[in-house]
Amino acid sequence: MSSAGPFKKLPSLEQAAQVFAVIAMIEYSWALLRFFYRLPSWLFYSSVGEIGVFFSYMIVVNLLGSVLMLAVFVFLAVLLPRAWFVERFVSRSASLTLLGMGYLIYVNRYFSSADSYPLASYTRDLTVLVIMIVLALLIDRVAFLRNLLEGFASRMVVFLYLLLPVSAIALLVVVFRNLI
Amino acid sequence: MNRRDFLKLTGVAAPALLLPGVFSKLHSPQTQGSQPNIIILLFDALSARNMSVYGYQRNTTPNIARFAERATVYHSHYAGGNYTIPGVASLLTGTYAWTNRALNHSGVIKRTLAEHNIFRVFGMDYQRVSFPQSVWSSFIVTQFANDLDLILPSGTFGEVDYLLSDFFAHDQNLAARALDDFVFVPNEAPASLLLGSLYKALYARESAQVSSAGYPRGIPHNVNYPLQFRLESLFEGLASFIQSLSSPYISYLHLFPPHAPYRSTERFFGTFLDGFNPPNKPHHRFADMFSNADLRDARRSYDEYIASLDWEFGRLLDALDSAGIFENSYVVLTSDHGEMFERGEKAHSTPLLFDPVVHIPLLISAPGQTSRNDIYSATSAVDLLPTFTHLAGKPTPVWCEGTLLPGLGGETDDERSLFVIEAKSNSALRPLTKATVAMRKGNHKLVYYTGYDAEDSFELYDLAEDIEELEDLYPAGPSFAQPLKEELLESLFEANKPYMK
Repeated sequence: MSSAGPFKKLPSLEQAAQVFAVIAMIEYSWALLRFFYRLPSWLFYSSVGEIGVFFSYMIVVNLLGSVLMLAVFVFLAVLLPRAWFVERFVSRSASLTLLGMGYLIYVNRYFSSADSYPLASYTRDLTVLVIMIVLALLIDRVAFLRNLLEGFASRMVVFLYLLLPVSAIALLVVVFRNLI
Repeated sequence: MNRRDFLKLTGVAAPALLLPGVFSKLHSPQTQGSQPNIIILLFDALSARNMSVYGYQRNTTPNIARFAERATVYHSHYAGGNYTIPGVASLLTGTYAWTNRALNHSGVIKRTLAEHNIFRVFGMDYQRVSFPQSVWSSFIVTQFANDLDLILPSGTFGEVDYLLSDFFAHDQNLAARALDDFVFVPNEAPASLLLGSLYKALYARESAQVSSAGYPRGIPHNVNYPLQFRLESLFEGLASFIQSLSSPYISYLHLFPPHAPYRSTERFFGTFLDGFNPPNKPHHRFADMFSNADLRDARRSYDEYIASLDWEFGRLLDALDSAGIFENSYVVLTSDHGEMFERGEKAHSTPLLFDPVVHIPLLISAPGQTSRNDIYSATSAVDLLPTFTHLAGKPTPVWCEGTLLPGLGGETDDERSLFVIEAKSNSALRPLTKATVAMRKGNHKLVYYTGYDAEDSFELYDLAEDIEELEDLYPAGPSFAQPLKEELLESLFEANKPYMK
């Protein structure tokens, strides 16, 4: 953890990497499921190169989403008192990530139409957010669960060795196609 | 035109100005030049069978009938397929879908054939513009981006536009298919849990805030994509846009209505509560299971939406007339496919090729034309490209599968065979083995179903005697059926040849 100057409430790189790994694992896994769900229809009319470009766009969007979510946690860490968040950065961020993305999986699995999309309701969103924060705090109070989350997050980091290079290539593909 | 539309237009037009040749064209006055303008106005999913101008019992199209009084009216015009992708591809390439391979939902023209398009044939001496309001048509149109001077984004003139591909001008085709048709498609689970969910929530919230005043069923929207619009704004924007073009130009304007959902304006809501009962037709084995009551309700909503569209078309007609556009332009009204409400089937997601889903309008007003001309022989969407290239004094490309339209340089040919192809469940990279092919020749229409049942099957109708296609002549084995069958199978075999191993 950084300990001096204006960055004293920033999480360490190791902590950030662990949280990012948890976010990215769920985000990218979901994306891959959707990709393989759509793949058979693409194979009917798309070349391998085109499918590669679709994959690249998808990965870039997921990279941005993952970075954005990590940024929200870092912002919270800077904003909140040290004892509230930074000192439990990995466990609290990971539990919020698992709860939040679990809820998003439920919503997107069962409510596909934009007409009846549950996230369109501020009241419902706020309620779910409060429940998630309470649950995250409760989870954090149980040492076993806290250790489990921290262990899980640290083991997820290994996947970044695959996800980050793939994301970098995808980003290059998208940038290259839009500059030429 | 609101501030958003203005910004979009300027955003798109500004880079177009940098293209060679475009700047000078934009500054030539509308009336200059001897070459005629071509305005192709396509209404998505408009069946000729539901238009009073073609004899439908409900008065759905009085303004189109007014337009017909100064146009050549084609009474047996056929789409290239029974949904947007093959319909648009056939029109813009002059080739059938079994050749251009735009066969599947969200499919596109075979990459090596994308240079075979009407805009390239017209060349740089024409200003070439397109407004694919239907996102599916934009998948085809953006394949021709190198041959177009301007492509208006699908959301132009709309109320809500959440398409993301507009931000990827250099890679619009693949960005649209990746982002708008996959990662952020609103009616499916998004391929990004975080940004996709956020995007859907924002879209749902903005949609809920849009006023639906004047539209009892809600304002029209693009069925699979995040676009909402009002008919009056759409047509007003379009009238201004057409008048801003510089002669000579060819414009392909693909409007989404009256495609489902059928959202008529208040003026026509309930207009057709008239007890009209269309002929009762037996359920088809490949059709869905909609009840007759469901189909009657859907038909009525569709008819009311057509009447709303026709009303706005009337206003457009007057605006173009006042601006003198008809003096130097071919104005074309057509569709990409029809819609059906019979035999248990609703709309056009079907393997069936009965006339309501493939018989589309075609009305063409020539420069200065003041009287009506009716053509009854069968014509096809693939005929538009050769006809307009001919009228513009361009050579007809050798790869084109259409012929000149009668009345506009061509002759009536009752021995001509034309085809409608449905193969959305067949790979575009393989021979057609799961498909429906209809062949129209003279008064007869032979339909071939392959791959949908254990055994392939045929249906045969005499459209002169049986316009409703109620009596299948094929089981009786009339003598004229065999040569028709041989010709259809031979044509399919030839189309499949390049894809056979």
